[in-house]
Amino acid sequence: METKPLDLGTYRSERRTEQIDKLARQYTPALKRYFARHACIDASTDDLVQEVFKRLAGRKAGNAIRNAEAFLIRTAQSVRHDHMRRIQSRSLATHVEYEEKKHAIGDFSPERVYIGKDRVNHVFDALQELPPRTRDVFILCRFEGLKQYEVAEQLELSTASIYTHLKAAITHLAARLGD
Amino acid sequence: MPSNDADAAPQLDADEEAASWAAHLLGGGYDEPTQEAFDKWMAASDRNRAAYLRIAKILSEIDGFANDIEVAALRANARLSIKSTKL
Repeated sequence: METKPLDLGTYRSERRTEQIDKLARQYTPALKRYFARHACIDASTDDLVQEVFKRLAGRKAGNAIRNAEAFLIRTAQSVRHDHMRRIQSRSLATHVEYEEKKHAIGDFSPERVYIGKDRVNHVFDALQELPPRTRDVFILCRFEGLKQYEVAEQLELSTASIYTHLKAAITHLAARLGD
Repeated sequence: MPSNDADAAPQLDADEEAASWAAHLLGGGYDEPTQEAFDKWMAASDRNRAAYLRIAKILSEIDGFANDIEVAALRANARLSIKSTKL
């Protein structure tokens, strides 16, 4: 289902602010988790989330956003990317010799962060590659906690079909994400 | 449900059987005989066990990304697919 396009440019300024506030209320928790998960250190997740909405607010009038959620995801990725670049350049500028006691406690080296980021992208890509119906069935069973018969009922499919979708999804994910 | 017959010919590859079991067990709702059959299959060979654990590890890893924003967007789409089916 297509989400309603968000045309910030057509609204009066109060309406625009209201739209952005509404998105902020809806997506701030997810964005905070996203930045926390991606180990965006040296900045509070609040600052990074604020940057996402600042970019949204700074968007030129007249450019409608077809899918607000997708736009926020892309913007969050871009904010994260810029943040990581800042950290890396700062690390190079203030490089100090490695000391086990001082540096080995955290697991947030730039390398580790990028490995984590790469893995997230890998998982996301593997899920994206699934046919839409197969992906929906897998996600509803695995993440949303629905039982197979419930998914069958909700999507108006047979339970045998649900099993077939799940097996196809698992086979694909195992092939793409296995060692 | 995959066969427990070790002599079945041609025998399905352990990975294939493990995927079948994982699909059966995913989402719960299975009965006790199914659970017993699965336990028996797991105990039947180290290869079965290793194949299933490989899949379980991957599924468990994916669970860890459930609240990642990209995956959360896919979840939102899946929930919308329910609504759109019902429309």
